Amino acid sequence: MSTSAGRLTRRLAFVGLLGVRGRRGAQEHADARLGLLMAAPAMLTILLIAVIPLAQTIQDSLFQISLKFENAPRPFVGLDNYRALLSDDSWFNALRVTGLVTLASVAAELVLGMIIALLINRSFRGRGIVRASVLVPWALTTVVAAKMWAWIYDGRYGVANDLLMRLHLIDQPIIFLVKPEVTIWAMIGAEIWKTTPFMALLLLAGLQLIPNELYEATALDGASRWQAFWRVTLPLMKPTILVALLFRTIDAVRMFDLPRVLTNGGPGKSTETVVLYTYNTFFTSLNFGYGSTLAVATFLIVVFVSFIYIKVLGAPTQGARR
Amino acid sequence: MSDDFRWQGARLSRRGVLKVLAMSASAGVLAACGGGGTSGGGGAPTAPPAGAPAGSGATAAPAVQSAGTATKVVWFAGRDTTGYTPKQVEAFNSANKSIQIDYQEQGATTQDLHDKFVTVAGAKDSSVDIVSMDVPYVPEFAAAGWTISVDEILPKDEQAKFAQGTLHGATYEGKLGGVPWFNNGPGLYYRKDLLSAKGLQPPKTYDELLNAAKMLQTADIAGFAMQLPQSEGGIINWMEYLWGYGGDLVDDKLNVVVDQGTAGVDGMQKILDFVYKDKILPEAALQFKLGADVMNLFRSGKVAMIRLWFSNVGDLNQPDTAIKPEQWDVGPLPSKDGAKPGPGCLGDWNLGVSKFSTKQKEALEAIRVLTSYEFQRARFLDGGFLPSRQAVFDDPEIQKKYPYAKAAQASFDNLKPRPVTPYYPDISANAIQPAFGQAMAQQITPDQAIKQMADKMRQILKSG
Repeated sequence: MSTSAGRLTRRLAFVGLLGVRGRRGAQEHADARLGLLMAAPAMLTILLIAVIPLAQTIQDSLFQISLKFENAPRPFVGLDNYRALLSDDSWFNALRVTGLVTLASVAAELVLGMIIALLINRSFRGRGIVRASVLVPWALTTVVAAKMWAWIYDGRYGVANDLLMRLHLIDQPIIFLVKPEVTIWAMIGAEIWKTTPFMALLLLAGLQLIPNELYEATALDGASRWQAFWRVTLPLMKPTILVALLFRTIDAVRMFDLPRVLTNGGPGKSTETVVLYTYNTFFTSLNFGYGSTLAVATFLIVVFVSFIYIKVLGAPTQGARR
Repeated sequence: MSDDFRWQGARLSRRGVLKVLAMSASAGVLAACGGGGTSGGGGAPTAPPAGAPAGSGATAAPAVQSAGTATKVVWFAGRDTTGYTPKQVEAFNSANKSIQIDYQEQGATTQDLHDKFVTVAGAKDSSVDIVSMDVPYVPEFAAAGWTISVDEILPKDEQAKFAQGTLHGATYEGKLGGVPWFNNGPGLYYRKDLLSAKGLQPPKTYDELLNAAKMLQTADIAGFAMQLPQSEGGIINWMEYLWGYGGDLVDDKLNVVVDQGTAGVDGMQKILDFVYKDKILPEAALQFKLGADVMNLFRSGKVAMIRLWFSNVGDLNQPDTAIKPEQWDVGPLPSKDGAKPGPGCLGDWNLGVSKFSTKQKEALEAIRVLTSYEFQRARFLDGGFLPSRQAVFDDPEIQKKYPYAKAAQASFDNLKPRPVTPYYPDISANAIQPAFGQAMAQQITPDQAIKQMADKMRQILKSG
């Protein structure tokens, strides 16, 4: 006999909010009440800072709101903004840019992050310092990192050009941030540099969850290190890898500060991500209705990406299931 | 690939999730500490000045206000690379008992300031009292109802003392949206020593500019530089050539005319030739987002001539400047035929008052003082900022210190404002800048760029 509160408790337990399993009987009700009470402040906060603004944005997306003129009418336009979205070249361009940046950077980060995680998981002298210093790029504020990369990529004084010239890989300095086909990869490079440490950190966490006995057993069975990696490490790392990919993909889809500071979407609109386009629609075009539509569309994309990952992440654990 | 390679941990255990989440949460804390530390060091400009004068009331506004001794007004301003404006704020604050200015620079670029103010004003928030406005923002903010008219502190007889071009740029629908607090336009900075060594005069035409640049150029010194990135600062440079060839963006009735005639294409081609054909203008100029980027090149003696704002003169007083005062001068821009100075873009800044300010009276009074004769004179004398009050130019001490003052004043007659319409920022960011950026990167031809921007401009003006 299961009450709705009991079901709720189990759900909360499943999402890890409470960390307790539902039990039957009076104890269950008491637990449920306590659980609700304890979760209430968090829920209330989420309601205030996430749900209400989201509802407001969805509402705004159904109106034509231009702040260009004081007291301008704000007619209800229904789904007109969404129809406009479907024929908006700038939006599709931003989608292409975001897709490319997300795919390229997250893939590279996964490989590099895994290598770094494997390296710093080994014990060697000065491991603490190495682990800490690996985190530095990620700990830097993105705006600062973007400014730094703008200097590195500078056409006249940039370190990147200097290195390439000294290595005789190029004869003429490259103006990195001017040619679209170069700029987008320069931006992806900066993004990889910036967020690989985060990936490495998450993967390191996963590596440390693997009991050493398993490696001892594979060694006894005569497996090579390479085989141990493919048959022990990777399979056991799957949950971690998926969580890391989820975090990074969502982050990359919402990429804003790096292109804003490094290229401001240029040249042309070749590095304009969906969030940067949304921002410009709000703050330069002062078009808050259509801007809200773009924001809702971005939100739906993020939800969609999360949904896919969570599907892949698999069903909940035995304990939380009925 | 055998079956052994398939994922074995397909089910994520709850414990596993919790552990991963806990690890990442602690990583988040780590990052927050690191990030906080970094931005604490780098984000200083927006923080209130640590060394605010004791007893000024700037740090204890509520208490002071209720005591009725001083009112704090917050001023949103753009970055002043010369560092002079904070000194004037200090001067104002120490001379004033009743009003104290809390001066807050908003980011490195003009766009940052714009976006910050849009955020605050869009929310009808009262946390800003005074706002600095680039020329295009005056009509934009006035039309949106975010700033109030400043006519009351500048009656007609006072207005007559200002450069009329600056007032024109600050007027929207017959009302003054801000007070011009210094005048600004572009000039041609040049190395006197290098020109005279080759027996050259400062160039008066585009062709003379090209020839001089070719002659002065060496392996270490570029011939000419200006800002050409895909930004407001970049398109202004093209606009001056558009005007120089007799074209314009829009006519008086806001009809798009940029694609009529060949001025837009010719002007753009001229600049492209400077970069790619004549090679007198370093390609790096396409990355010069700030005026300071051009000035730093000039200050370090790496370029013979630059087109830059008169307001950057102060940068040449900085101690790490490699070239000496007798080595450089600044004069009017060249033009197509040399008959008169080339057209420049009006780039003065205006001070306005937020409609949502609760201290409008004090804010207006502060602006009245900041734009007074005394403050504009000091600003010119000590900071190098040219005044919008014409009488300052006649001051003997000014003329002694700045031999170019009169030339600058004269070249201000050729300044043109960008289209005075609330649509301008939208047009600039979404029609002109992307087309210009692609043309500069040689992705499209000038013909295509002009057509693309004209189409987009019409679309924006039509849709509102």
